[in-house]
This record gives sequence, structure tokens and C-alpha cells, in this order.
Amino acid sequence: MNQNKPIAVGFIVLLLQIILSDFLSLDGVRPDFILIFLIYVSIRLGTFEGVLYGFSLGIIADLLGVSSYFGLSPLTYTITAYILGMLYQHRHFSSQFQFHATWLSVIFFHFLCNTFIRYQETVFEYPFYYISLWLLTTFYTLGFVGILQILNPLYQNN
Amino acid sequence: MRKLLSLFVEKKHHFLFIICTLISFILLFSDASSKNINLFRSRVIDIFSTIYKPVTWIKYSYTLDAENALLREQVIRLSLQVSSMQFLEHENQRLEELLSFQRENQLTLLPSKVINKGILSNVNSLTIDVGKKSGVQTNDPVLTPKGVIGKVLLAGESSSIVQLISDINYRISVRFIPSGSTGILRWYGNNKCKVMEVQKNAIINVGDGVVTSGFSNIYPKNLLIGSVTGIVDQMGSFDKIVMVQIQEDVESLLDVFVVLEDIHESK
Repeated sequence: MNQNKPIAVGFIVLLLQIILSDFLSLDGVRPDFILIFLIYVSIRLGTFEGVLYGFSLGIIADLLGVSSYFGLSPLTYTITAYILGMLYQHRHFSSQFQFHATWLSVIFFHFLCNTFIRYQETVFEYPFYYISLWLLTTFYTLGFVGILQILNPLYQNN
Repeated sequence: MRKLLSLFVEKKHHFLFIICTLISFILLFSDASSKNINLFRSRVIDIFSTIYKPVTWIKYSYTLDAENALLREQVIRLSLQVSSMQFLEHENQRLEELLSFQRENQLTLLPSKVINKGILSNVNSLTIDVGKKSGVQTNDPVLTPKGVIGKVLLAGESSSIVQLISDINYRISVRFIPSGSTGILRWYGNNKCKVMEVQKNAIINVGDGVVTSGFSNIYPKNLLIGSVTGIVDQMGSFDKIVMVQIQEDVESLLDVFVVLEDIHESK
């Protein structure tokens, strides 16, 4: 793959996130296009590229507007990209189901960490609200991943 | 040495992961108010605010018709109120003179537009289109007509980041009206806040108003925050918890006001 292609796509994704996230906001829940990009980069290009893009985009995301926990986005994106990178070329997965279940679990875990670290002080006092916030954010983002799955499936028989 | 180098090249993804994780942890646990980080962040938001501006313009154009209709309705309602208030003001002035009442200083409000609500999946900060050039400084309170919604976290030259009341680390000293009891307010979720450290014997009822106490160096006193929706009186505790509803929907803010520095002198 052309080395510059992911950089260009990453830049477009960042612009999309900046421009569209507010328009697509449903009761404060927004899709995470950066994460969708990272899923594809990590699984298609491997851990190194995934971590590199995850960290860089996470830093930019935090620089663009976060009041508390500056540094949390690069951390969660880096960890997510690192784990997703293990799915590179489906090395350890014999079945499609196992492959999809793994990246889906990683996405759920990513949003779980984000929500529960960001709201750690109140999350146990008002658990249903934060659990619904976590699930809604996850499913909203997965909705867009689902659309992309039709156009460009993550699992490809080599 | 060559072996070490080949190991590094072979396992570069692991090394990169460790380095990135370490940097993230350093950022996460470093002093958030560090001058260098803040300076860098303010430069970045200034640059990105130029990208946001066309987006904001489209967003405002989209809501313009509905906003105009609403404003026309408000103008009529307010003009009726103004005529009755002019009479009341005149009467009030007369009574103030009689009581030698010292009028408190007016707040200097700077109107601003919300140009961005961050790009993360949950909103806890805003970027507004005014900065140091307009007199905005760090810790200036940010309001809407429905009450306080945050404070300036970082002021760039022409844009600023606002820490919203919905941010987990946001605290504000509040007073209940009419009882006068005070407490510390923090976000709870779903446009609700929790006021801690309220004296157990304080007489507070559902529907009571909540305003800033004026104890902090940031907020002038008597700025509206919300209203009481519930009281939790815990057994075995020396204080009670009061639930407060915020009137403003922090997710859908478009215009806000920054209270400029000279208000601190009026405290």
C-alpha cells in the first residue's frame, strides 16, 4: 500500500470528525470516526502503523478540546490499536466468528475505559446512565463500522 | 550491538507501543496547568478555529430560520415586559435612594459563539470564538441566560477552551435561595448536579433556586445555576446531598457569554 495513503485518509478522517461529529450528535452521543479508522489501519497494516496513528490522532483529539484527563485519548487509542494489530492478516484466527468477536470486544473495551475513566467519580453513583452512555456510544460507532463492512469487509480471505 | 539493533527493528511495534503508552501516562499524570502545555494547546486551538469557522457558519445558517422565529416571539414578549419593568425600575431607583442602597457593579459580558465541542465521543468542553484579544482570561466564568455553564480553561489569541459544568473535575461553590445555605456542586449526569457538604439542618425544598455563593475568586455571587429537584438526607452523615437540575442543555449550546475579568473586582 502506498505509504502516504493512510496519512491522507487519516487527515480526512480527522476533518470528518471535526466537521461531522457535532451534526451527528444524538443526545450528546457522537460516533468516533478516528476509532473506525484505527480498526482498519491496525487490522490491515499491523500494530506499528496502528499504534503510530492511534497515538498521533489521540494527541490531536485531546489538543482540540478536552478539559480533564489530557492524555487519555492517545493512551486508549494506542492500546486499542496495539490489540487490534494482533488481528493483522488474521494470523491467530481460524474462524471468521472468532475474528469479528475479537475486534468487537476490543471496541466495547475501548469505550468502557473511556467512559469509566472520564466519569470515574460519579459512575458508581449513577451506573445506569453511564452504562447507557457507554453502550450508546459504542453501538453508534459500530453502526458506521457496519456500513463500512458492507463496502469494505474487515475479514478478507487471503 | 548489531543484535540489539536487529531486535529493535524486529520488535519495533512493541517498542513504539511502550514509548507511546509512557508518553500518554506522562501527559495524563503531569500537571494539566503546565505553562508549556497550555501555551502549545492555545496555539493549536487558534489554528484549528480557522477550520471550525466555516463549519460554524453552516451550522448557524441551518438554524437561522427557527432562531429568527423564536427571537421575534421573544422580542414581542420582552417589549411587553420592558414597559412594565420601566415602571418598576423607576420605583426601585426611588426606593434605593431612600435606603442609600449601594448598587452592585454590573457584569461585563462578552458574547461568543461556540465553534466546536471537541471531537471526542462525549462532550465536556467547548471552543469559543473569543480569546485574549477580546480580553478573555483563564478562569473567566461562562454563562448563558439560563445560568452558569462553565469557565475558561485555556485562552488562546482568538479562541478559548471552556471547561463545561459537565466535566468530572468541575466544582463550584453554590448558595440555595431563599435559605442561604451553601455547598459544593459537581456534575452527576443527564443535566443533573449534586451539591455536597450542605448542612444537615439547612431548610431546602424542591424548587428552590441555586446561585453562585461568591466565595470563590472565579465566580461573582448570585449567578443562576439551576433549581433543586431532590434532597438526600443520609442517616449517620453530618451533611445532606441536594440534587440540582441545570436549566441549560450543555449538549446543544450555540451562544455563550464570558464574564470578563473586571467582575472579580466587584466581588
